[in-house]
Amino acid sequence: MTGFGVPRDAYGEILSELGETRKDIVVLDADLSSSTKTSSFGKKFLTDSLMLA
Amino acid sequence: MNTKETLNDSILNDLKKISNAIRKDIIEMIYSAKSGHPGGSLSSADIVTALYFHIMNHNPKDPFWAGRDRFILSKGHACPSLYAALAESGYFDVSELKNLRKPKCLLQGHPCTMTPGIEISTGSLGQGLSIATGIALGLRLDGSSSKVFALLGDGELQSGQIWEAMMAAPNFKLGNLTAIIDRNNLQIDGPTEKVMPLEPLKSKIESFNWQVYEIDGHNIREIIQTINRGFKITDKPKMIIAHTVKGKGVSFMENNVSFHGKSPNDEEYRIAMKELEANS
Repeated sequence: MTGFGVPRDAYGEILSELGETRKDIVVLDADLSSSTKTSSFGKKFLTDSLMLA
Repeated sequence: MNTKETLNDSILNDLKKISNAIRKDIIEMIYSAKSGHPGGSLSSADIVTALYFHIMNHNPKDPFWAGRDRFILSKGHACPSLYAALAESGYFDVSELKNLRKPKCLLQGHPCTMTPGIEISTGSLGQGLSIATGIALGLRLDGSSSKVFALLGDGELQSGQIWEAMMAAPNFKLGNLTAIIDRNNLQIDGPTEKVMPLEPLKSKIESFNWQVYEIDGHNIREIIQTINRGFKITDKPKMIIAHTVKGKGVSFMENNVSFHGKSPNDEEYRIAMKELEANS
C-alpha cells in the first residue's frame, strides 16, 4: 500500500498483507476490531486472530 | 429536585413523556453532530429518566449541592442520554444540545466535568464502578446520606477493573451504592455472548455478594420500584441487571449493532423523528 490515507485503514490493510506471508503474526483485539481495522485480518486468518475484549 | 410522591399513573405518564423527549433529543443531537452513539443512548433513556426525574435528589440550579445523590455514567459513550436528561431537568438550556461534539462546546463526545451536572469524566470503559465505589465510601466517611448510582454497559463488564470493584463494594458493605447494567446484549463488535460471554451474569454477581435484581429496563415503574426496594437493604451494594433493547424506540436501530456508534443519515433521521413523534 502506498500514498495518503487514513492511518487506521493502512494499519489494517498492512496487517492483512503481512498475514499472507508471515506465519508468526497473531492479532489480539479487545472489542475494537472494527475501529482499529484489525477485523480484515480477523476475517482472513480466523485462527490467528483473538478477541480478548 | 425530588418527586417522592407515590408512583401513580399520572406520574408514570409524565415520566414516559420525558423519556420520549430524551429519545428525540438523542436523535437530534447525534444527527446534528454527525457522529455519536445512538444505540446505547436509546437503550439507557428510561433508566436515566427514572433516576433524574423521580429517584435522585439533585438540584439543577446548584450542581454541587452537598446533599445531592451522585450519578456516574460509566458507559460514557451513551452521554447523549445523560446530556438530554440534564438539559430537560434544567442544568443548561435545551438549545445547547445541538452543539454536541462541536469544538469548545459544553457537551463533549464523552462526559467531561466542564458540563454542569457531570460528576467526573468517563468513557474509558471499566472504570465507573470503581469510581462510584470510592465516592460511596467517601460519602459514608463524611456521614452523608446521599446515594450513588452508576450506569454500566454490558460490554464493559469484560474489563477486569469492573470485577475489582465487584469485590470491593460488598467488602465495604456499601448500601448507599446502586449500580445498573444496561443489558442490551450488544457491544461494538457484536453480541456480548459471542465476543466474551458474560452469562450466567446474575449468579456471577451474586457470588460476589451483591444484592442482584433482574428487570425490564424499559419499564419505568419496575425500574423505580426495584431501586426503592434496594434502598431497604443497607448493608450491601445493589446491582440491577436491566434488560434493554439497543436502539430502543427507533425501529431500524433496535438490536442493530451498526447503530452502536453511527449517526443517522437524512432519511434515517426523518423516519426516526417521525416514529418518536408518534409516541409523544
